[in-house]
Amino acid sequence: MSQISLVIYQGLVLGAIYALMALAFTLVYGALRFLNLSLGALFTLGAYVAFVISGQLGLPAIAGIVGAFVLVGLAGVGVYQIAVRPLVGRPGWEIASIISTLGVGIVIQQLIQLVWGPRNQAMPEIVSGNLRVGDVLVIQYQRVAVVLVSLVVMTALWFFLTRSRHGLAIRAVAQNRDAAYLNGASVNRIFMLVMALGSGLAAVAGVLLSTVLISLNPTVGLSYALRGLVVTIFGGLGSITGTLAAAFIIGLFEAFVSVYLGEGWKLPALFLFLIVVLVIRPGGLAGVSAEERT
Amino acid sequence: MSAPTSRTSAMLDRVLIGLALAIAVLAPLVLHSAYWLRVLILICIFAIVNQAWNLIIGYAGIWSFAQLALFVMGGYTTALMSLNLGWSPWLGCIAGAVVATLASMVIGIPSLRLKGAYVFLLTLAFHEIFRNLFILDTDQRFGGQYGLQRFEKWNFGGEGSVEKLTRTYYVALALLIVASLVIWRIIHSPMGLAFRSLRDSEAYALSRGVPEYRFKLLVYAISAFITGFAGAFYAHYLGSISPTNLDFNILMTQMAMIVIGGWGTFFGPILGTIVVKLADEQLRDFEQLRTLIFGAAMVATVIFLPKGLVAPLAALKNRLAAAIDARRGDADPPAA
Repeated sequence: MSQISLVIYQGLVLGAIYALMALAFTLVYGALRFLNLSLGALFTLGAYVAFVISGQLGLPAIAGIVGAFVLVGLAGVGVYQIAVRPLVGRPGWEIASIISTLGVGIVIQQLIQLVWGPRNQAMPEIVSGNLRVGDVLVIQYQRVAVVLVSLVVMTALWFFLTRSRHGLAIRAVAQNRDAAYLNGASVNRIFMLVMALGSGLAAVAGVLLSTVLISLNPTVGLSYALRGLVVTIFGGLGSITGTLAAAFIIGLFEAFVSVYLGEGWKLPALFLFLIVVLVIRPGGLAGVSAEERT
Repeated sequence: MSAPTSRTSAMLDRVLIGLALAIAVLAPLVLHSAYWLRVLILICIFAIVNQAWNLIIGYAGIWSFAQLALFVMGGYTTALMSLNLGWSPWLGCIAGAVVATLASMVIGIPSLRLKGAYVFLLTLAFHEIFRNLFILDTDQRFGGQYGLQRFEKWNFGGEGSVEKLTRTYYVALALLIVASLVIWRIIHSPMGLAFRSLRDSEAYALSRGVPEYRFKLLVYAISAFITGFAGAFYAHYLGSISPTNLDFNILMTQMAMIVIGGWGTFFGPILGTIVVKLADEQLRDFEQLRTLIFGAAMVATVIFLPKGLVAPLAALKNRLAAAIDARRGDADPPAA
């Protein structure tokens, strides 16, 4: 029984972080129809920005999170201008943009390594203290704060997408680019906005994860970008509700595997799970139709 | 392009290929150093893998990232055969190729019905699964993180390391030529035509009855066979194989080779392998910078030279052909 509560606790924390990461992929894919593989490196960059703001400058954790969101969001616009915009609309640009954003991601990751060095750095805590429940489960306030921040960000995103003019424009572009353009949405500006939002979300996910791990290093983004992709695909590329459900299912699944089978089996089990899902239900949870699976 | 130009162009092609082959054959005699021979052998092996990868990623439109996993699987197969059963390296190479082909079917049957981003992620997932399984292998059947060592290395005779390496190089070069010829035949077969039509106008190709899934599986299997063979050859060349062969940086370097050389072109992967490998050797002292440079070069190539470095070279060749035609046209006008 106590093992189960451990699984649920860990799974919720992981799910809250994966949800942000996967929303980053899904927002960009939904609007631009391509996989932005620089998000893994931007995720790491976000963690380092917060490390500088809260760890080295000693500002409050909330400043680190906001700073990471804003600065990495701007970096995302830079990635769009440099590596994506020249390619949009070329024949075969989906694979070309995968390769170019992957390349930009490598460059960002290597720059992080040059600036901060390859070793682990200690990440400051957001909140200290913990609560003991039963004999196995120890709830750290730190992790509760992580889940709360994630929920706040997701709620803000939901309000932005459904209640603001820009959010409406993003959804319009995602549904039908040409019709949105004909109705006066500036597609290029929407793309920049989406890249900024997606990169910002990835950055916040990076900050939250490194506070949970209490450390950060330049390569942390890669395996979490892969997990974010797994969640995105499992949820159904481009579907936001599917992505949220998938994030928590995957989080719980991963916690279950690591509690019962051991840490090392997390990634292989996750990928086997994904393969089985895609064979049975290729559209993911949200059931994207066959024509859209391009 | 008029007929005489293309005939001259084809003739130039033959001259250039002949020249490249001559350089490749004569290189060991000129360089005559163990260091350069090792570089050349690795160029041959990676050029084979990149040719096979380009066949599926550049021509067949399958965004598979499991290529390195298949390569390493070929290496592990032959290492296990050699260590446990005492098989000869050549037999091990064939076993490695067969196992890689079977593995490619395990990957391909669920993946190839899907498209684009899904194929990318699923194949990358297989790559990660293989890497983790090798590392997690706690009962040491696959040697865990250290991999497998101390199995038979190639011995094609010869005295001294330079002579031995020269012979190994010629074998590797021969394999590269055979693999390239096989891939050339596939690209210029009806199946290759079908793939180009699928890539350029899928709806039309499907409506003309191109059996997409079956063709994709077939070309995926052929690519895996070549890759597995190369992996086994590589394992016997180094005398070791380990999960570090699956590092993400290596995957990225391979990708950079294809992209910089020119993906979806026949000579691109070979040119890219040579350029990137030589640059890699020059940058040996700058471990940090070299991945950064390859990443940046990859982005720059995708944006400014979508067909890679072969494109400007091909343009140069065509201008040369045109110039030859013009001069020949002055002296001796072609018969109507």
